[in-house]
Amino acid sequence: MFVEQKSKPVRMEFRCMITPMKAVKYNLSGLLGNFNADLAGRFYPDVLASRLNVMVSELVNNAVENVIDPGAGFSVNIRITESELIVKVSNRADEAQYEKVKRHIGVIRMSDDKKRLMAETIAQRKALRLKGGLGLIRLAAEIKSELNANYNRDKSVMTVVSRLALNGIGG
Amino acid sequence: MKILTYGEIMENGVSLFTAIAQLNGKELRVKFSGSIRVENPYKQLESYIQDLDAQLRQNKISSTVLDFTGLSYCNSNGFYVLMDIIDVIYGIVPGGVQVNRLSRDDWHQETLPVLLNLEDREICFRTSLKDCVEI
Repeated sequence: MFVEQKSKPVRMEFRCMITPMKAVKYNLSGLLGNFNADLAGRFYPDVLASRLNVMVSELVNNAVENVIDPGAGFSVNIRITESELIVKVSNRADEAQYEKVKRHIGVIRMSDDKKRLMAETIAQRKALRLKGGLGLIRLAAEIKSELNANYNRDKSVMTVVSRLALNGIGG
Repeated sequence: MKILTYGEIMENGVSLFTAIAQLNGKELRVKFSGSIRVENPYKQLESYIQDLDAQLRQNKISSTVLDFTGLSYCNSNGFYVLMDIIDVIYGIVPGGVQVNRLSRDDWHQETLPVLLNLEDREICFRTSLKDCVEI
């Protein structure tokens, strides 16, 4: 009797490091977001690829906004497991920058209504004509990803992590 | 159908985003296509917003269709530009606004209603959302 074997689900891991950051003169966040979404789209449903695009784009933007050493680089690490999609972006940052990002993530995590938090933040920042500042909130409010940040004091490297439960969408 | 004004974001000679405002009788149709990924979208769209404001004041318009179905991506820097365009339209043009959006896209479903400010009762009353399927 022939028994059809169930194929193993696809796993994907992608790492990229670019040094120095000052060499980046174009829209790198978009390029990396699109590239990874295109790649993931070959193995996974469109909805996952599209969420990966948002995660990579906004986390790379966040890293670009928090550069202390343009001579240093940054790294992107993407992993898609059976149950979750994880994107980590690391870059050199001083402790004050890390604390700022950590506080911001703390506010997002504590919020019971992340969509309202996004709406209020957009309204405040728009009134003051402030640029940016929405990327991390967007990851939580729009695609429901969980955010974390950690800091390696010895190397002055900040890592921001966005984690998304796949809940069956990973195929 | 008469084109009122046209806005575009280009990078390295390639068109990345367009916003076309057209008049069909007394109906305004604004179609957004492509993606907004640049760091400062105002740089290329500021004059479009000013021109849109002027054009809308010169024409008699009674209803609006905002078509976002061609917009495949919008970074968070693009949120404010879209809100400015939306503010100009809602502020000048009276009547109902039909918003065409994609039914299976996080940005269209979760973030676009925030940018439209649908929590405002008057805006909510004037707006109808039409969910479209991407072909």
